[in-house]
Amino acid sequence: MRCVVVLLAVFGLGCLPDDLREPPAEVLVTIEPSLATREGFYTTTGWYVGFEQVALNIGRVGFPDDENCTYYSFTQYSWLIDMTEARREKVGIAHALGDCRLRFDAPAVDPDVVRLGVGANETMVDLMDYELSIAVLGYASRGEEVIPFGMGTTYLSFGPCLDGFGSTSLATSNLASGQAYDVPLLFDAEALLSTLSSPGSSDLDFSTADSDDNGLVDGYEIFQALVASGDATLEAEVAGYQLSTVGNALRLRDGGPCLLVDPADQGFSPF
Amino acid sequence: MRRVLLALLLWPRLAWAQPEPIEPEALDPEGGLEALEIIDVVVEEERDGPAQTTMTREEVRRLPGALGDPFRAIGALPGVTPSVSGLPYFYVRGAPPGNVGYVLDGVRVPYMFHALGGPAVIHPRLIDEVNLYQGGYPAALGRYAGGVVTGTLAEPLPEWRGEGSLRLIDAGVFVEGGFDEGRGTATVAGRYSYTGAIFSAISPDLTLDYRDFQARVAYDLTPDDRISLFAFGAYDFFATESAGQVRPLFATEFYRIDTRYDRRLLGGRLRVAVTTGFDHTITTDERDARTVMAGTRMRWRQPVNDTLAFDVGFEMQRENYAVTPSVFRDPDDLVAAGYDDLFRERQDGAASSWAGFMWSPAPGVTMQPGLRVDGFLQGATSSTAAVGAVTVDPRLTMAIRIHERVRLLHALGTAHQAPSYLVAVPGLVPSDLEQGPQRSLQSSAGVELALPEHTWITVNVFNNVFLDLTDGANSDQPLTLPTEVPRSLGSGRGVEVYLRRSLAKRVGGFLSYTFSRSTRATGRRRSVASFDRPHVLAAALGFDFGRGWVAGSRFNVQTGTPNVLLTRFAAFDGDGVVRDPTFYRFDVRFEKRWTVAERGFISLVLEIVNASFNRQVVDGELLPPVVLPSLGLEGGL
Repeated sequence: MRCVVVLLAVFGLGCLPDDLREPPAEVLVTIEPSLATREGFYTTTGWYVGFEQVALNIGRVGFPDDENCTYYSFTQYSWLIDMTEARREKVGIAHALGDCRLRFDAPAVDPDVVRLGVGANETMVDLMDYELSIAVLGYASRGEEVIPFGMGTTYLSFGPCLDGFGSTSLATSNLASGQAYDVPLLFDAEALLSTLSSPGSSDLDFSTADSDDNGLVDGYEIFQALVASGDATLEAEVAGYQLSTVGNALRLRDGGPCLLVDPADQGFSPF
Repeated sequence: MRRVLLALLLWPRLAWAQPEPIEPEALDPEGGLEALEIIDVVVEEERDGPAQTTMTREEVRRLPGALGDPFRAIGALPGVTPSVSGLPYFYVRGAPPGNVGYVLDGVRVPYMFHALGGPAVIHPRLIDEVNLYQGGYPAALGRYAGGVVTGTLAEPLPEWRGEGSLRLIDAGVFVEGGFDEGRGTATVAGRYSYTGAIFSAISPDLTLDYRDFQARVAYDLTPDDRISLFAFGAYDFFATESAGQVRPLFATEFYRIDTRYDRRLLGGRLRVAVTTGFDHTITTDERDARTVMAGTRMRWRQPVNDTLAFDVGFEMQRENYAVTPSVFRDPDDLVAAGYDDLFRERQDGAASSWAGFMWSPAPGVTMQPGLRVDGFLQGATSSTAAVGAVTVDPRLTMAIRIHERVRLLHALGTAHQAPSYLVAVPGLVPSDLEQGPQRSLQSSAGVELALPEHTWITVNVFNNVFLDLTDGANSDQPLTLPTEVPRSLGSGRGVEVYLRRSLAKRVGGFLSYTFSRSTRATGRRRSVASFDRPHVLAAALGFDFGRGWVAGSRFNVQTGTPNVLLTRFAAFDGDGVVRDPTFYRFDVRFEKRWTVAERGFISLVLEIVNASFNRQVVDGELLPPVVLPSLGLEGGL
């Protein structure tokens, strides 16, 4: 009643409580390309695989609310970046407190909420409009033989990311009030053409063409399959093996992969 | 009897039953010309005009599933489509909740229901009746593109009396009495929810607190002059707590003070009023929005002769929006910036004038032509110029008695509304007048048949068209939040059937059925609306067993809405539209009333919304059963 009386006397004063929360931690998520993304790589079978464009739409950074984490803000926009030209680029800033697990998206490009990052342009936006979150154009060459290829995926959600020991890292054990944290991600386009060996899965039964010792299988065979179909600019359907490969493409810079999650299970969506 | 008095006061010869004239003692000052149709207590149910459906307080009290709440009760009426069963957010003939207005005794109410499907923000004891205008309503109502729900305050009485209620979720009180030998009256009412304690016990990380109050003081300066002050307000705070921090999910409050001068004038009625108000909302991203408003209005309803009356008036309103953006945010976030722009600080205004007539050119024929002019102003900001719009809305409703038991009903009109949110939120008013106001063309035609035993059946065909609708819940829209207000072309077409016998009688009930199709088109995309439900049926039956025992049950069934996730880009013609399953539920209500002394009573009321514990599927997800039990004790003296 006191509040009502005050209110009636002086309009402009409300009875709702003030925000008494502690200042949150600020978490800056960034992404940078692998060396293979920028400069291409050689397979053990002698092919050179180069990327002319690796358009990545990434954003919607946040932390799902749970009993150990309270979020203050999440982002609802995305950056469209050509990772072949990128260095260390911003993905988003989110605020939270507590033990929080990072989530972020590679959503299909929405022209209303996309920002153009390094190497991105309106043509990319038009091409990826509501359809693609990653669009890759590249070529493979060996000797005189040059074969272009293209592939893309649609909406993907990631998180949390694993540390080098396979446990949840980011993260970010206990985000403390007023502190700032950096979460550097790494995008490895090489992994888009590779997959983890997965015994028992015929879809993943590609013979080895490993170009390095990172434990991933380079995608020569996928690449060959694309070529064999007669369309070198195939737009790959989103299927399990591709999700796996995309999942391998995004990881902590100094840690493990970021897990793929159901986009509907974002947790911090306002809907 | 009061409504009979009001009606007979004005236009005894306009009505079809040729009633006897009586004194205009209790004329509802905001009732409008539509009230002139009330003519005889015997044909009380016939008071519904071509564009309105009325429920009295006693009917609402006995309606299972309404929890005694007059404004929640409209969810059972034809043309009304619930968004989610159990939640009092209604689509009316295809218009979303944000385009449906609530007007209490001439005062616009910023939001009508407490959080989480709670009760209305007005104590039901204050309400005499509610009217639902599905479309084509009188010229005195406007600035809403969809339907309008009006509530009429009960006439204050000088005899001291009071009522109290104690329910599982809240407690309410109503006290009224007179002073200065009956020249003045004072009314106080309110409700307080103690669900916070219940929630804390069940789920410690949730906080829910709501309350509302109403106060009225009226004083008759002379037998023909009255001054009064009506204040009301509501408060809701729903929050979650995690990691030791409390974050609001729905935190809002509003307050209104309406100061009035009423005068009986030449057999008519004049009201001049000034309204001030304050709205306040804190969003989940800590955006703090406050609105201070002030307005004035005048309304004069006047009989000219036995066959003609007019209703003229104007209103003006000014609103100052102040918004504190959220502190913690990514400065590059286009969506957050879009919200800053959408809900920017500014001063908006509106001015309206109208002229309506009630004309009875021949016995059994009643016409209500009207014209309304609205001016909308969106104030300038540091980055945008002021924008204005002037709109003109012609209206016409007509009732033609072609047989002593048969009336033909027609309603036609246009309406305009400033850009609105999907659901009205105090203080959060989008600024998008640059694209013009929302528009609607509302039309309906029907027939009403009086059956034996005070039973009526009305069948209406309606066709509403909405232009530049700011409905953000189109099923074909991307799931991202709009940084710009997407405008859409909407439609709502259908048939309504309403069979009724007053629930206030010993055996009463109704059957309300709506078959409709609601669509939206944005650019080249066209689809069914997100909350389109082709079939909505409600059937209620109440029985007074005598000795204070009353029981009732209500059956509701509604087609599922389109599954937004699966129907996002579906074609309009129905191909690819995947609907959630049909939902039905039973509501029950039992009451035992004891008479105490001469006019006192005590009632024990058990009411359960969704007593069948059915679960609704929304976008493919099976929700927990939304069951609203209410066990309450009511008493009055």
